[in-house]
Amino acid sequence: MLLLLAGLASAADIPYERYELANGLQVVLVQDHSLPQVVVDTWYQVGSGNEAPGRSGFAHLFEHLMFMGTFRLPGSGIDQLMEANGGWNNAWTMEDATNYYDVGPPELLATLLWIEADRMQQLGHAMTSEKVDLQREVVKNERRQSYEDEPYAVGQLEVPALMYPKGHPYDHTVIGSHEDLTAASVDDVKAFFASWYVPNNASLVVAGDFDPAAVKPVIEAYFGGIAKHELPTRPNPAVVAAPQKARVTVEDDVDYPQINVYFHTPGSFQSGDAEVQLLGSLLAGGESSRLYKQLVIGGLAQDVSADQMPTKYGSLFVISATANEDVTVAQLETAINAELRQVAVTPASAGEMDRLHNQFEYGFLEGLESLQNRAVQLNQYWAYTGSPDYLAKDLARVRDATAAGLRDAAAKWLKPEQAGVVIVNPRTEGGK
Amino acid sequence: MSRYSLTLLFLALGCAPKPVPPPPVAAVEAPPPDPLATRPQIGAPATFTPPSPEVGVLSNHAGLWVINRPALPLVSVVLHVPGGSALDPRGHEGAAWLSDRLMTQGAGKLDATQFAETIERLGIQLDVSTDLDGSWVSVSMKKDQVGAALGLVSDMVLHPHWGVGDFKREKELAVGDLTQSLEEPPTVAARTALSLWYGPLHPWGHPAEGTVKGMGQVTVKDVQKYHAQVWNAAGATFTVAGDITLAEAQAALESTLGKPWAAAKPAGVAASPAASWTDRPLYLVDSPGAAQTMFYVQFPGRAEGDAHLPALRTGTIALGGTFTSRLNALLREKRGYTYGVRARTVERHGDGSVVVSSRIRTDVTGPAMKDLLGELTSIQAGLTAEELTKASGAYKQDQVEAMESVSGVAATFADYQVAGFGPGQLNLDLLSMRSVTADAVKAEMSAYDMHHAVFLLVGDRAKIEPGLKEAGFSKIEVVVPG
Repeated sequence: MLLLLAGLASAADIPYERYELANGLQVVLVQDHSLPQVVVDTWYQVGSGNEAPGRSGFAHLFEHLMFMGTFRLPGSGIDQLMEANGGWNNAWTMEDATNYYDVGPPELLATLLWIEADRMQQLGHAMTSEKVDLQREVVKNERRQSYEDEPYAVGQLEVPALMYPKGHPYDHTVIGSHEDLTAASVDDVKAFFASWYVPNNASLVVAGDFDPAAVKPVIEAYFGGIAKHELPTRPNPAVVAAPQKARVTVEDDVDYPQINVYFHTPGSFQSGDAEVQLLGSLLAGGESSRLYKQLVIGGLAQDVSADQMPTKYGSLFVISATANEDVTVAQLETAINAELRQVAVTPASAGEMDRLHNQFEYGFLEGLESLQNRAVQLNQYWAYTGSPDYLAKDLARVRDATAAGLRDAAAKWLKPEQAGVVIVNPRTEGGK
Repeated sequence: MSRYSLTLLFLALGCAPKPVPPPPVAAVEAPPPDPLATRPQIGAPATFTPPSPEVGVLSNHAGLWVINRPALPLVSVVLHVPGGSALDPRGHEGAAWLSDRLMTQGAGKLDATQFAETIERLGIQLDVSTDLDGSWVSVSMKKDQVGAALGLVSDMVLHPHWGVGDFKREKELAVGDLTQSLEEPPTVAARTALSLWYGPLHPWGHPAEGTVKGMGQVTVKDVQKYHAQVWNAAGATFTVAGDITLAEAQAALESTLGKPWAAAKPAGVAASPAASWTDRPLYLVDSPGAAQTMFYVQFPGRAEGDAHLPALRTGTIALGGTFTSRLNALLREKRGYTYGVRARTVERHGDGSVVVSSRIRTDVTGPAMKDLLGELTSIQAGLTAEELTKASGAYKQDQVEAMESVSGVAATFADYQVAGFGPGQLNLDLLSMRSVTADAVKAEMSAYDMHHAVFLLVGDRAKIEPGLKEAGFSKIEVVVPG
């Protein structure tokens, strides 16, 4: 196994060049001339965890507003300019960060950099209430589509309040509430932009088919003149070890009940994070996993999953299972807890460890095929570890994870008595 | 900006009645140029020449294409046989899907659990799927696992177990999945539209996954019959991409899947286009309490290989294929009715269509449908030159990105091989999309003929019906998804 992963380290290397502009902007250049395309990935270290009270969903709403134009490129100019020349873009917001990515042919690279610099410099100044009102409606539609009309997803809206105390950065959802989205104002947007969308809070990865000697002066010219600013104080929450209450039950338009069991686990790239991620695979990573055999092959559930959801100030680990007809969530919970108690005392077998390492190895390699994935990976390393130079360590922490380590991690982090449970039941008559 | 203002203020003060000495030269220093003031020039488009597969054939007559991509030690293999859910016995819809799924539930010397353990312990990614006219096995792995992976696929194809317990479990899981999917508006819309588009008795008139009722009737004999009917090497194609040469792929396949298979002859399903319907009612799946209305509109399109397809693709991309397409610009960015709209061409052997879909706020369903009709009408006047360029660029970029991963390369070329094209067809398609003319697109846009369309909505009938009538949909027929 050690030899396999050592080979993987060389195959999965991402050669890059890193430097910092005088204003604090991190720059990473990754050359890949195998296809005629480039990616510009800009990562701002601000997410829903930095939202003010009463403004849940704001970081994500702001992400939408980043595409609403500037003085130099008004209206939908960003999208128009990219798409007219073979490019496209998108973005995503999470608890700790917001990520913007542009993809296109090589001849578009200078334009992509110009667009990113332009909106980093002046997006907030060009904000209007019309833009905010429009994107507020789009985001509310996203909420309806992704949560309110998506089977079982209303349960996810309950998780922050179940697992985090009020005042914690993660005590609300990234999508936010309708009420808070309605309350967002142009002044909020301008203040958020001025506070967080500054070069010393961002990392720019340029990847693909380009010449660094030609691109470096362009980056310096476009981004170098954007002023740095002192950043607001970041949250420093206490570690949360237990849910705020044991369980919450909601109803939805579904046919079978579902149980979702949440645990507080180590934050991204922190000690224990790798072991808990591997525990997710051990428990439910495929049809030979422990819970799949117990619950699905055993006739109790239609499906089961187990995943670590890594975030900066402590992660959540969730086990979800949807009951078969005539099976209760109590039966599912009993079976899940029995397996958790087992995994906390009995180490994984050699065969199971082989499976975990090989599944990880394939997934890691496959993930690096995509130019965009590579760009995001380097930005993630920078954001969570302070340096993009973390790939070898990322592999090592999986390589070094042992069966005993997984057992100890389960005993420490996945105690059934410290779980927060969300149950989604089929709607009762007149329950809507 | 601020430096310009200060300079002007200084000069104004210089106009006072009492002359004053001119300021020192340094005080009127020109402001530094704004490096962002001018948008950069965009150069000529980079050339993209897609790879061209090497072609071989196995001794059992199965076709073989190989695309050598040695950048990472990964290999992806796509195996296809013709057949699919079109062969489902009437009343047993889902038989083909369940048959293919059961190939992974015990084969060769391994029972279902042992089979999964072996696949997963080796880090092999295995996917089995069924569509309307074929069955697929996709397997991706590290280069050193190619032999083991193909050995397992060989067992699936040649020696599936059809265990009674496995059959019962997988059938129950399938019924459960199908039942749950009736709560997912996009799935409900797509599956219901198939029946409406082709008619329930047409071979393509039911979803490949089957229906709740049909799956409930599937027997072990059904799944065995399907397998024996379609898994014939002479009709099979292999598309292989990754760190492997044609000789290596051929040797690995000959030693595992190179002998004749069970089926007597390749199963073929005659191409059978949808019937030509006219002036149909608006179909509505009632979903009380839904926060959004899903609309799914289907028009007659072009079959794969049709010479007019590039023009239809171009118009469809301009209509709803990108973020700045007409429907997204109107319904999302101008109105705020939706999170997004999508229009796409669906190309089959001998048949094709255009599908436009979105999820819109319940309370604006009527106005949104009015807007939709307006756009479907106005696009028949043709596209702008910018829209033509944009569509061609978007298509090219899609193909570039498909070439990033070995699984993407294998899947892309598998589609071409299965459709009967030559290995250079991707390049020809790129050239065709670049040379589409405005006149050709305008001619194709007449496909958006409301009289031949199916309009299907999934939403809260009580809340949206009045608005729909106001939008001009006087005939509304409620349908129940199966």
